[in-house]
Amino acid sequence: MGIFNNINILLNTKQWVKIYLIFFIILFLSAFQMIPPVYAETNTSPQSFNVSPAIINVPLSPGKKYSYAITITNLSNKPLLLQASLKDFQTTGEEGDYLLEDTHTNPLLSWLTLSKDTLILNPHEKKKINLMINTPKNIPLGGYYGILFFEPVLQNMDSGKTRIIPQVGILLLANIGVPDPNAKQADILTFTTGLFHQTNSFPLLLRVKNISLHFFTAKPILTISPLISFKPTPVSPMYLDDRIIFQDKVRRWEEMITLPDNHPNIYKVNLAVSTGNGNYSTESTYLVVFPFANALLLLLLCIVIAFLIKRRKRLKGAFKALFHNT
Amino acid sequence: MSSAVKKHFYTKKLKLLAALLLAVVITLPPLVNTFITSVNAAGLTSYKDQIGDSRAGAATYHNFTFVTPSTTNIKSITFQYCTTASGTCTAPSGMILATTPTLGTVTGIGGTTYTPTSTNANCTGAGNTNCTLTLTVTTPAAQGAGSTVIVPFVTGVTNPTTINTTYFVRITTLDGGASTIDGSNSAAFAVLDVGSIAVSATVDPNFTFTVAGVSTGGNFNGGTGNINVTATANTIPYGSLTAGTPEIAAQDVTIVTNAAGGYTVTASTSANAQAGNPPLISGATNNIDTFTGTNTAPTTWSAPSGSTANVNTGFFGYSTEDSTLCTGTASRFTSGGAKWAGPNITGAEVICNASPVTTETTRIGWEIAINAIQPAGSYTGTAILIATPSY
Repeated sequence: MGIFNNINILLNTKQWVKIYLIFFIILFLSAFQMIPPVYAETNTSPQSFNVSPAIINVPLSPGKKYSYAITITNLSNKPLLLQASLKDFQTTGEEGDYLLEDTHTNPLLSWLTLSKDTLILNPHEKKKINLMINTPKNIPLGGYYGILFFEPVLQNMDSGKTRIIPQVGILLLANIGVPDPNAKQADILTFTTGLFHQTNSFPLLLRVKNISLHFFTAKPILTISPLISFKPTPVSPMYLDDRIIFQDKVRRWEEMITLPDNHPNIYKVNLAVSTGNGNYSTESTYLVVFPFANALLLLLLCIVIAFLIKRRKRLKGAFKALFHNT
Repeated sequence: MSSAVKKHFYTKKLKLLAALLLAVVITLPPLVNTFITSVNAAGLTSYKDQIGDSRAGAATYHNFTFVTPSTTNIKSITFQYCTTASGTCTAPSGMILATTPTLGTVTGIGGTTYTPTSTNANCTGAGNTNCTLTLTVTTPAAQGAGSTVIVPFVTGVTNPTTINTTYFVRITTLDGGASTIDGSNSAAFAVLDVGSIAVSATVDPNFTFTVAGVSTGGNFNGGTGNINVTATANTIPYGSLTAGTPEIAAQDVTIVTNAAGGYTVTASTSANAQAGNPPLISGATNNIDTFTGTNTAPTTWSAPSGSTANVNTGFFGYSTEDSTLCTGTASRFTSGGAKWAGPNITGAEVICNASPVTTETTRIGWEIAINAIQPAGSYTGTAILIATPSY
């Protein structure tokens, strides 16, 4: 008690208020220490750049020179040093996969030159480089392709770090010559819709093979018409996604198709795969939309009703007896 | 059995059959349709006349586009200019058709060799119905049902002279016997004024690729706060690894593209001096191996359990939050918890979209773990994220 009395003598009321204030401020701040820190998840320095066009798809003639401008934009807040390089690719599978190759076996790559293969972009700066194609005079007709890559050149890093290099590829596609308009361009390898369907949705599997010397963009068009109809109705074609098919390669379309009407019917499905220049490969199939499960239930219901009708006198008698007794 | 009893049974059977038949007919309406003759749909769809200059009296191209539902050989197509869409045709005043209009590239018709002709008239309005362009196919052939036909008349057409008026073109396809296959269907075009504005625009496919590091404490692929290393856009500084403690870093990859086929991002590691190109190396012999799961069959992360140094004593792998990949099983990295794959020098799909995207951000994770036998050293490697437009 003696000590506190001595302190009270030493400190006046104002000083006590100050001490209390400091104590509460410390208490208040220490409370924050108990709350787990919250981090902004994504860092504030993303690396971002844009290339345009992303696909260069051009018809070429032998012995001619072409020039195409490519625009690259640095969208980040830091300067960006970009390096351009060319690579071959092979297509794999039927779903549009690439298999990149460091070799330059595709002749297209040897016909290409860039006005510069490195460029420095200031923050948000846009620059153009020219892609020049010099086609030789004697080259076989057909499709040629490659990829032009842009990747940031990273500074030397400390060991012990894993580097991440983001690359953007520009797809280069070129056809030399024009396909024979009378020659068949594509084979429809698979066209299945399934025969019987409970509802108006059905799975479509379509596989198309390029049998020409050139690559082309294939656009499948489905025309589905009911065979049984009260009145003629206009049939709108359904357009599936365009896909490029390279020479001797197969592409696949696998999706659910929903019919515009949901009435049970037999439908004829006409497929026309447009391969450009007015050329089409066609195929057709049939499918039946019918609610088999519901129909079975209705049939059972009919049988029950028929049974009841047939036995109505006995039932009537039974009910009479029941109510009479009660 | 007496005849009265027999008659009674017959009546009952008939009633039963009638009830069943009635039920079937009522409940299955399509069967009713079988008694009605089917009539094939006819008529062109998506028809339009695109003109290059809308000024009154201007000579310009007229590009016709329509979809034909028929596969029948088209011998000729007529394009009759009228002031109304249907009914009696009155030719637009002041419209002029050249004797031999010139054609651009005709597409969508099965046949070959096309000849354009016209009525060669100064279409003088009321009473004149003879204001027609004709395309004749020398060697007709069938086209696919739903074929989009494009017939561009490049020169030889001069617009009507009455301003601010809508005119119509009645399009009819005819067979070799001059019988109508489809049509007529009327496409409209407008003559606006004596002055016009030329508008031209081209939109190239473009591609934006953004990579941003994710800070520690972030969530990855169903986990909560499981990111324990802060990555930048270009580096993953794992720091000093502890045996038995996996480290996860992540990056957000954002794509913006109008490419019709969408895009694909693949992950790979760069080749190096060691046999088998392990993803992270230290000097000439020490390495951290690629994780055992593969891109086609990624697996739940498992700790490295090798007992010989540099042989499965350390693992490096990747995973993605994209649950709709374009190849293989779409959700193979996300279904049933995070699944991981080991990278190699061949790129493998980590993000994909088969359609154009305005902005799509996907998180990619990188995990590393070692056991007590992993040799000490400073390990370095390079992972590559390649973004390309799909074809």
